[in-house]
Amino acid sequence: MAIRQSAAGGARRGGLIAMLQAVAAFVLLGALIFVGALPLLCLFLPAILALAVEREPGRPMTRTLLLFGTAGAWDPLSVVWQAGSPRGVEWMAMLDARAVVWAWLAQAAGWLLAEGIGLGLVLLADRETARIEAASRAEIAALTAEWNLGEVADRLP
Amino acid sequence: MASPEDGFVNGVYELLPGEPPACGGGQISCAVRDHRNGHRELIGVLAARDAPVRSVALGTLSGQAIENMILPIAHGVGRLPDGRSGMFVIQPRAVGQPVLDAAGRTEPWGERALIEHLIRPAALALDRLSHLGVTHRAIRGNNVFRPRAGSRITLGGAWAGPPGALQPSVFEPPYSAMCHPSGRGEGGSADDVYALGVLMLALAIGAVPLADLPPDEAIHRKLERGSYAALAGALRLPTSIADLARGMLAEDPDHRPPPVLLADPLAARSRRVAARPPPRAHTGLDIGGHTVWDARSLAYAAFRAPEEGMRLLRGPDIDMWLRRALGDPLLAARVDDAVRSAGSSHQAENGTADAGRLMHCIAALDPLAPCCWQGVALFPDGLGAMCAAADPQAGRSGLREKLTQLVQGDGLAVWAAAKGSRVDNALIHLDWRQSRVLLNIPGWAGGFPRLRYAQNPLLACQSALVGAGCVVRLHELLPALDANAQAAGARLVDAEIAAFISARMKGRLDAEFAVLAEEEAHEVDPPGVRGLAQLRVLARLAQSDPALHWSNIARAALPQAEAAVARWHAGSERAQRLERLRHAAQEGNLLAMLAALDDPASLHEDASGVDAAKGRIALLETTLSRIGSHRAMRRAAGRQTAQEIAAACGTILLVGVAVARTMF
Repeated sequence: MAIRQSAAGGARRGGLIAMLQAVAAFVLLGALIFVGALPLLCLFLPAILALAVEREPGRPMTRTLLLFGTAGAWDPLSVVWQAGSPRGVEWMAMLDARAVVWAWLAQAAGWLLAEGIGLGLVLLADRETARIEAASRAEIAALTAEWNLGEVADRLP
Repeated sequence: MASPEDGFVNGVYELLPGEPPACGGGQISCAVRDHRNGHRELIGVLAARDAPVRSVALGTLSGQAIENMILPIAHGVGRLPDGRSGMFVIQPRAVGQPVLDAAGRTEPWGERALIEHLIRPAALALDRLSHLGVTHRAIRGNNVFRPRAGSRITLGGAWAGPPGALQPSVFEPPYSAMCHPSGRGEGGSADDVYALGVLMLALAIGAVPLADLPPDEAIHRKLERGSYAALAGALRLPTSIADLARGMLAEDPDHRPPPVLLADPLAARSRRVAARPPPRAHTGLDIGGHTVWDARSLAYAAFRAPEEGMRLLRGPDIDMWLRRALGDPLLAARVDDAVRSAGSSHQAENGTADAGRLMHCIAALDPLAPCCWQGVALFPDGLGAMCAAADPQAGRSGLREKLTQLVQGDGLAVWAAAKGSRVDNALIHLDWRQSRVLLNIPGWAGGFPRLRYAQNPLLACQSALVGAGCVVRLHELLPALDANAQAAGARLVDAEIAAFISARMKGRLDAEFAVLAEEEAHEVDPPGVRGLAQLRVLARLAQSDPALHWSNIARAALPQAEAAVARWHAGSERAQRLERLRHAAQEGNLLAMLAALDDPASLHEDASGVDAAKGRIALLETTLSRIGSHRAMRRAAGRQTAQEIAAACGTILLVGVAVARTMF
């Protein structure tokens, strides 16, 4: 009985959270539309998704995507900046398909660069580690054979 | 130089077994030719393996000359063509024939002939001999020679065996005759005088008296009646001869005339010692199948039947007999003290306390008696020869165990104390303690074999590993081992050889023998320990002549020696030393073989090297384990670095775009 009550309580809490998240999402969407931030959302959607997904401290991937995305969306952002008053018309002007593509491509390039460099560094580290490991094992084998230390060789990892 | 295998002794004296047989006084002998001058009037007398030659006498008499006595010229190992080998004593061939034939008979000699041709020359020779501190102990019918009728006799050689060992019991004083043939000891010139007196009687009557009696019965009769009465009681002898014989056959050695006095028979006749005849009981006492009437006969009967003797001594019969029948309460008190003596702790441990008490009782009953121990009688200076004789009989009579128990306990000291001033108490104590030390040395370097070889400097090594060869001196051991190495196998040193070497080298290799004994006892062989110890012993023997090589020994010792290479850890060092060892073995160079293995400095370096290697391996193992455990961390660090680089690139790109758009 206690288990069933606990399971029912958990389900009710889950539904409440989902409902609160949906309300928060609508409130945020309304606010964005109100301030004209929807175009920004479109331009930086990959970075925003990365922000939601990434769990690493400091959000380094999000940071990279934002930097690359800002560089890719420089032109529409500069238009808004130069307009002086952020009205909805100027904001919507940013939703040019070409500008969005450039912004997304830039963010994709940033992602690729970060992942590529990471992969390269890991490969390099693994290769160096393997070299050190092989050299150590060879030296142990040589010492064992030279000094007749069979019992030492038996307990090698 | 010709070797013993070629039939030579000391490379000079050629044994000629094909020549007419020489008279060696009952011992195996053969004709000898001196190769330096072709002199043929020599013989070689072969000593039995278990009866070593008299080393002290041979050393003292070397280069001496005594008229009317055959002295040794040389001694050394030789081999007869039939394979018999051993220690030969080279001495001049006796001229003439023995004074008694093989049956112990001859034409009776007259009074003048006995004095002029027998007593006087023999006494002069014995006097000269006693001045050199040596006794003859071999005056008997077949060892005294006369070139022709009417000439003076010559005393034969007496050097190729323990003193008195070949003497018929009738020619020995009863106390010497009751001893084991090898245990009669050097004795004194008085014993030679006694034997001369018996020979004089035999020549006077033309036959050996009491020859038809068993030795045991003859000794009983001598003790009961006195030697003179037993030997010449019913004979009609010239007065001068009877007077001489009475003095020469006195029971107490101190009562016999010394040889110098015998040289003047008239003076010897006039010397009357007021020896009191032993008191005789008015009733007899039955013991061991005999009825005894006096104390010394009782002592002898108790010696011959030790169990019954001890039983009677424990009871009241003997005490009452001594007090009432013999009338000697002092003697009864001394015997009672001996019966009640506690004995040594060692005797109590091995169950020989009764034997010790009986020996004490016999010594109390008869102060002239030898040391009587468990049915074996000996004089302390005969212990060495007894040890030599004991080993072959170990399985039959247990003589070896009896002698071991005698030396381990304090039997000899008790006997010497009971003898009082008749013996050199301090000397016997010193010899006994030294013997006991040797007996108590653990391992192969001590025990009975060590005692046997230490007591007999010219006793041949009795190890089976030397084969048929006769090894008396240390330098003869390696040739014998080399000749027999193929049959011996890998084990070239056994307990007998170890005891032999220890005795000859005064214990300088005892540490190696302790190792060998330990390995033998536990039947384990840590890498090369046995092989190295064996090689050390063999190489030490080879040091006496480094130029000689011993191929067979080296080949036989190689497998065990190779195991010693494993003491080095370094593979290259092992290979190098193994190569050196095999090369030295091929040459038969035992010293080089040992040099390849016995290198403490190199072993120390090797130990340091192996410690360093272990340290280095431990460090490498730590590195390997770190590599395994830090793999995920390194990957995370790589990704983080990549993010920073990417961020830097993004920043540069952003600044570049901003600058470009602003300026152009």
